[in-house]
This record gives sequence, structure tokens and C-alpha cells, in this order.
Amino acid sequence: MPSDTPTPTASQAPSPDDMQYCTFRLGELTLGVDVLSVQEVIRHEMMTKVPLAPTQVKGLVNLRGQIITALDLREQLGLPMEGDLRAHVVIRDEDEASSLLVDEVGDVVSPNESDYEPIPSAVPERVRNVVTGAYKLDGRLLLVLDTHRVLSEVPNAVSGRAR
Amino acid sequence: MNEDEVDEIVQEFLVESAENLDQLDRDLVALEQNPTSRELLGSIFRAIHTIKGTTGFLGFSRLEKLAHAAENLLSRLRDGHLILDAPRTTALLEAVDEIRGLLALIESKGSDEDDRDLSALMGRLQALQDPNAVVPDHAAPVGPEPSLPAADPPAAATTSSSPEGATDGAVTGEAPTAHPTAPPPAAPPPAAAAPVAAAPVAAADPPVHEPVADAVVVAETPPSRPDPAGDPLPGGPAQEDAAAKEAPAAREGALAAGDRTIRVDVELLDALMRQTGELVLARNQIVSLADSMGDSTLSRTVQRLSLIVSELQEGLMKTRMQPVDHLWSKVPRLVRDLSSQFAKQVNVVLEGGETELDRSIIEAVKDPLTHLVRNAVDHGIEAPAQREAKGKPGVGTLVLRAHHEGGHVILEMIDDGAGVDPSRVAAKALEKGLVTADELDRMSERDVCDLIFRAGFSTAETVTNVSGRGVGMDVVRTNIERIGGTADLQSEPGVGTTFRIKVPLTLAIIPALLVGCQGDRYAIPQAAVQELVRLEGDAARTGIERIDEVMMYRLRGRLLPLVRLDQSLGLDVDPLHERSAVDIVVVKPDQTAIGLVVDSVHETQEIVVKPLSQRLRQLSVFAGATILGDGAVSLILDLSGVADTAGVRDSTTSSALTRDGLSDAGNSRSLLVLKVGDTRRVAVALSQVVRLEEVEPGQIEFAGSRRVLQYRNELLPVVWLTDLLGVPSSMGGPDERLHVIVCSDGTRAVGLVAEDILDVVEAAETVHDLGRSMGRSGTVVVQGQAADLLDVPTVLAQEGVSMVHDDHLRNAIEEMSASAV
Repeated sequence: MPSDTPTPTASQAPSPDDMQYCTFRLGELTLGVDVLSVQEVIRHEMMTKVPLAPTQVKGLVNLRGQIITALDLREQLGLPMEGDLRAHVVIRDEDEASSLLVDEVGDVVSPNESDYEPIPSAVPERVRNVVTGAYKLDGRLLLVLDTHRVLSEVPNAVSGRAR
Repeated sequence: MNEDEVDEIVQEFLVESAENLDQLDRDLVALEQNPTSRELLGSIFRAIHTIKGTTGFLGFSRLEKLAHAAENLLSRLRDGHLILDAPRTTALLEAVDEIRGLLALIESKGSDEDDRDLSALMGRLQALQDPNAVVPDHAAPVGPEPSLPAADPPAAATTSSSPEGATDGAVTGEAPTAHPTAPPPAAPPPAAAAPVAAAPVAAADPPVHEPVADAVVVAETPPSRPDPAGDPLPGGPAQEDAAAKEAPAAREGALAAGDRTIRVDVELLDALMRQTGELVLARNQIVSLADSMGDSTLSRTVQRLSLIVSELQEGLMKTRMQPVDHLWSKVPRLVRDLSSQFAKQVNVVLEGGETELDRSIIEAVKDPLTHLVRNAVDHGIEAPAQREAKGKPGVGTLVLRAHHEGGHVILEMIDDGAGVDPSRVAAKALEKGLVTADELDRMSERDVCDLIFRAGFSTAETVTNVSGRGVGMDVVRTNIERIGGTADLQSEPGVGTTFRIKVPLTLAIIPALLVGCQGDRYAIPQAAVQELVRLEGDAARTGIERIDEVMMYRLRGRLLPLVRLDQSLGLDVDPLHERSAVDIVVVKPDQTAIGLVVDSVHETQEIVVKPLSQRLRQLSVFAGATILGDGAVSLILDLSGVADTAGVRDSTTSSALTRDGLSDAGNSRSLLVLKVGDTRRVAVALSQVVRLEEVEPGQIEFAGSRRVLQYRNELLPVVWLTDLLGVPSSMGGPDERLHVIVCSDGTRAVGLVAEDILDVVEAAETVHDLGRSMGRSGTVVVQGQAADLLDVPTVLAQEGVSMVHDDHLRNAIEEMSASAV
């Protein structure tokens, strides 16, 4: 179901057996976020850069009169910062919307719970900060992003008082 | 009537009563100052009466009885039989508090019954009806109070002259006495309404009744006295009728006002506000679209749309604005309670109450302000004896002032109390482990005072139940900062303290100037913009001067510190002198004006302020973001943050030049370093420098043997530092402009001529006393080189003398430094 706008069904209870993930590709990684936290997926938008902001903050986007913060997680996930990311996965957490910049939006999947494993501690902490676990799919791993952490974590924050 | 309707009525009653009670608080305190004001008494009486009438109707009997007791006392006051004094005011205020408590009870539980005993208060209200009553302020009731005999509300309402009331003696005795003597049409219901609540408590009362006097009282009441609640009622013995009819009359009065105002749910207003914000954005987009299309019909329509939207927006803003009076109405009462609690005397002065603020901001400021008032009465203002010992009037003064300043509202609270003693603050902070001795050494006095805003700080010698628990000041600051405001204090030990709270006017729509910086547009709140300066050609290359790293521009002769926006934002910086034109936006975020150097200046737009996401809120240079007419997102600059980033605020370097010109030297330890002769370096305390001027040598004239400069229509004596220090001059040719450093101590002024202005530095730690001589007070090491520390006071005393008696220059200088502040 390669849909740009996955419509979450409100009645869906997020029981572990029945989790649905909106997946996307970022560099070589396949990532997934809880489909219920996804507001919509949009194409490239005009972005305003934010000086002095933490490095993940790519800019601000006008989404129908609402200002959302676009985040680039590549550095945090140890991916090379190559090329422009053109798709935004808009996620909502506690009334605040942000968008994750991704290379490509994939399907909504419901993986088997038995394929799930928490993220091994060998993975660097900056990754573990936002990735909670992985589903072992055929030929690839689906890394589960904790949207709340993604939106509230401010690692590498640059102080506003920097010269 | 079904249950919903009842609920609705109760709800309405609660809202209305809350307003009435606020008014009561204000009126009662005002009345204490002016105990004979009929107007105030009438207003108070009506408020209580309305509450009583409605509670009876709704069946809240405890509340009704209490209101009735208060009303009885009030009616006697209103009719002039009693004079309001402190005990009576206290009792009435307590009654108001109890009523408020009962209303809260009704709101939460739907009933006014709880296990609190109100009989003590009612007894006091009763006893105080006696003109000769000597009831101590916080007296316990006389004797234990049995449960109320006429507890049933309908009974109380209909049996005002019930047998038990009549036979209970004491005050109730007035009822039977009064009625026969009063001609029915003349009987003023309030005076006659007394017995109802009086009955239950009468038994416990001390023998204070004066039936005869009461009778006379009623008879004396002239029929012509206007009844504040409406027409004189044909009451007669049936007072309950009078009361019952008076209540609707009062309600009609309220309805008259109700015709013009309605209550609106705040959430609805907020929603409307948001939608209007969106509408403004859409309007802006259409405007820019229409501009690009060039269709005149469309343009006209859009213009009209634009106008309507603006008016709509303005109107809606107004619905959310409330005068600061809403905040201040509670202050007199608060201060009264506190001052009696701490045995202090405080006079409250409220100024600028008409200043309007968005209601959300009013809400946010309420608690911090209350805390500050408490602090001021508790810790700030001294006890009367202590004050008199210091030569101050025994009655302290607490001034609350509100005014607009550059898109913000400033709330100031000024007390003339003991002030904040930096040494005590320092000692306390040290004791509490908030700072180390080392840190303290490096702090300015102002920074030390600022420590009181740290969590866990409290200087109170004794911990009281009002303040002094060590939480509070930090909460005050946090709360104010949460809404984008600032809180700070200025204090002079022994003289008083000023707390200054700065809050944004509104959180919604503001006009803003758009400026360009490296391809992006940033919004500057228009209210903070003073003027725009554009330097072109030569001016762009030479108009900007430097002192150390700080750039300055002479704006009409005054030094304006410049801040590069690109630099503040951490962007790449190009050399300014390579630009063909320099755009400077003169802004005044606080008290200091700064010039913001931008790449370009665009138009102004109405913008809707939107908060930044959580993770960006720590960026002090941005106040929020907005969407521009073309749909692009623009960041809104927080000018205070920008000024902080560039370090041009507070008592450091550049701002000291313009701001601290004449003020105390204690605050600023910066030194202006001058070159004198070929090699000598001379340091002057920046606090004593008023201005830096450049003049043509030809402008120097002679007056007798003195060299003088015509300066602001006065003659300023000019002294060559080379002469003063006895060093050979290295001045260039007759065409070279002279650097004149204008120094003043507020009464005398002198111009010092130096070869060059080298630097502004923070004062060196030690002054080496290598012998003093004329004009030198010591030697300091500045950046590895020795410099003479100029003894400005002595120079002023000797050279500046001729200026002293001339107030003109002094005024000019004062005016100048005042406007620089």
C-alpha cells in the first residue's frame, strides 16, 4: 500500500501483536514509526533554516498555516549527510507536529511480534536514544523510532548564546 | 424547572457573586480610608444584598445567614449609625472571605454545608452592630454558639420578627421596637432587615443593645433618602417582603448592565483568535497574489477584504484585553491583611491601572505579582519604629505602576523599604551553597542581588507563613519568563527596592519589520524599532567606529553600539567596509538602544506569533516564528536575546558609554584607555565618561588663560592630558581632529584631550600606588602595559570648576544621560 497519506484508524488499539508501522527509507536504513503518530506525508516544501539550532533541525516548514520543525536524523543515525531529503513524514506528539525528512516513504506494515528484538547495546547510544528496537524482516531490519524521543530529545544542542 | 436549569442558575450566580466579591474587597478597603462615603457603602450593601437574596432563593441557607449578618452590619453603616473602623472592616472582610469559601464549596460540591463553624464570625458581625461595641480585631465570639435555632432558611426568610427572635432580647429587641415607630412607607428596608440573622446569635451576645436608639434611628431615616436598590418600598412590618422585592430590583440593575455585556467562554474566544490568525495569514497571501496580478478590480476587493480583516482582528484582540486593574484590585486588600499581620503600615499607590494586557498574560502574572507584594510587605518594608529610626515616615509606601514600553507592558513594584543588602544576599547565598566565594568575588553587586531569583534562596531572618520558605522568587522569574517576559530588581539598601516585570502585550498578532540576513527574512517586532539608518558611500566605510571589538555608530552625536545580525545568528560574517551600503535598524529591546546591522530592510507586515517547537525554545535569539504573505516561514527575533548574545547589554563595555554615563561608578569597572603623548597610556573610569567627541582644533577657543570648547551652547573647559601629566605632546598638524573625552560627575564637566582612544577594558584587579601626582590616582596594568589611572574627581574639581554654577550644562548633560538610558 504505497500511500502518501496513510490514514490511521482511530479505533486501533496499539497492542504489541497488532502494531502498524509507517515505514520509510533513510539512506540505507529502513525505519518505522507507529502509524498512529503519523499525521500525514508531504512532498518537499520550502524550508526556512534556523540559525544556532541543533544540527538535526533542518528548518521550519509551513504546513497549511502550521509551522512544523523538519528534522534530519541522518547524523544521529550515523548516516552520511548526502543529498537532499525530499519527503516529510509529519508526526505529532503532544500537540506539537514535526516532520522527519526521509528519502522515500514505504508501506504501512504490521510485522510479527515474534520478529521483534530490542536494540542491542552494541549500537551507539545516540542511535539507541531514538531507536527502541528492530523487527527482523526478510533481508532487512525495520528499526522502530520512538517518536516522542525523536521530538523531545535535544542532543548536540547548540546554545543560543553561541557567537 | 428542571435540574439543568437550576445548575445553570447556580452557575450564573457563582460567576456573578465572584465578581461582586472582588468589588467588595476593593470597596471595603477603599471605604476604610473614606469611611463616610455613601456611594461605597451603597455599593457594598447592594453586593451583599444581591448575594443574600439569590442564596435564599437557591436554598443555600448557611451562606444566606452569613450574608444576612454582614448585611445587617452594613445597613447600619450605610445609614450612618455606625462608622466603619478597623475591627468592623476586618469582620466584614472576613465575612467576604467566608462567603467566597462557601461559594467555592457550592461550586465543588453543590452544597454550602461543611463542618466549619461560622457562628463566631456571625457573633462578631452581630456584636459590631453596637455603636459602642469594643470587639478586639480578631476577637473570639463571646461564648459558645449553639447550633442556629432558626437554621431553616425558609423559616429565617419568613419569620423575621418571629417570637423567638423577639424574645431573645438583646439586639433582636430592636425589631419590635422599630417597627411600630416607623411609618410604613418610610421604613428603609435595609435598616429594618437586621433582626433576621440577629436572632440566632443574640443569646450569646454581650448586653450591647440599645432598643431606644434603634427605634429613633429608624424613625429618623428620611423617606427621601434614595434607596440604592430602587424605589422606597412600602415595606412596613413585613420586611421579608421588602427584602424580597429589593432583590429583584437589584437584579434588574444588574440586568441593565447585562444588556450591554455578555459572558463568553474564554475557549471560544481563543478559538476565534486562532481562526482570525489564520485569516490574517490567508489575507496576506491574497494581498501578495493580487499585487502580482495587477488586476485593479481584484486589488480593490482585496483592499477591502484587508481592511475588514484588520478591523475584525483588532476587535477580537480587544475582547481579550483586560486592564491591569484586574490585577491590582486585589492588592489593597492583600496589603491590608499582610500589614496587619506583620504590624506594619503600608500605603498602596496604584498607577496605570488602565493599561491593557491580554487576559492570558494577566493570568500568568497574577501569582508572581502576589508573591512580590507579599515579599515587599514582609521583608521589604520595615516596622514603623524601625522606619522612624531611619528617618523615614512610619508608613511605608508600595507603588505599583504599569505602562507600555516598546510593545511590552512594564509592571513595576516599588517599595521604600530596607532594600536588598548585597552583602547579606552574598552571605546567604554562600551559606546555602548557591555560589562559591570565588564566584562571589567576580560578581557585580547587581549580579549578587540577582541571586535572590535562584531556587532555594531566602534571606528572611524568620520564616513566616507568608514568605520566606525559599521558594518563590525563582518561581516568580520562571513564571514570567515562561510567557516571554523578564523579571529583575534594582535595589538601594536603606532606600527601597524596585521590581520590574516586563511582559509582552499580547501573544497573538503584532506588526513587524522584516529584515534580510543571508537570504532569509527575519521579523523584528515593530514596537521595538526606533528608526532605520542607511549608510551609503563614504559613510558606509567610515561611519562605523570601533572600540575594541564593539562597533559604534554616532547617531546624532551619541554612540550607538552596533550588533551584526549575521554574527548574532552564528552565520558567516563578511567585512562590513566592503559593503556599498550598511542598513542599521535602531532597536530598543530594553533600556539600551542598539543598532542591528542587517543585510537588507524589507516591508512591515502584521504577523501572527507562533511558538517555536520545544526543542528550539532554548534559542534565546528567537521569540517565535510566523508565516509571511508569500507563505514562507520567518523567524521572529527576540531583541533582548540578540543583545545578550552580542554582549552589549548590562554594564559592560559599549552600553556603559551611553547608559552609565553619569551613574555610580560602583556598577561599572570598565576603563577607557587613552593614548597620551607618544607612549603614555591613561585609563579613565568609564562611569565618569559622558561622551566621546571629535572636534576640529579650530573649535578650541580661549577664555582668559583657559582653553574652552563651545559645547551645547555652553563653554566646556578643555584640558590637554599631555599638559596635565607633563608629557610631550605628539599631536599632529593643525588639521587633525581632536579626541575630546567629556567627563562629568554630574555637577562639573571637563573635556580631556587625548591623542587617541585605544580601548575599553574591564578594570584591572589592583591599583598600584606608585606615587600620586596631579591628576593621577595610581597605576593599573591594562593588557600587560602600565597605564596611569586618571583621578577624574580631582581634575573635575580643579579644571571643571568654572562650569559648576552653570546649571545649564548640567541639565543638558543630565538630559542627555537620561535619554541615553
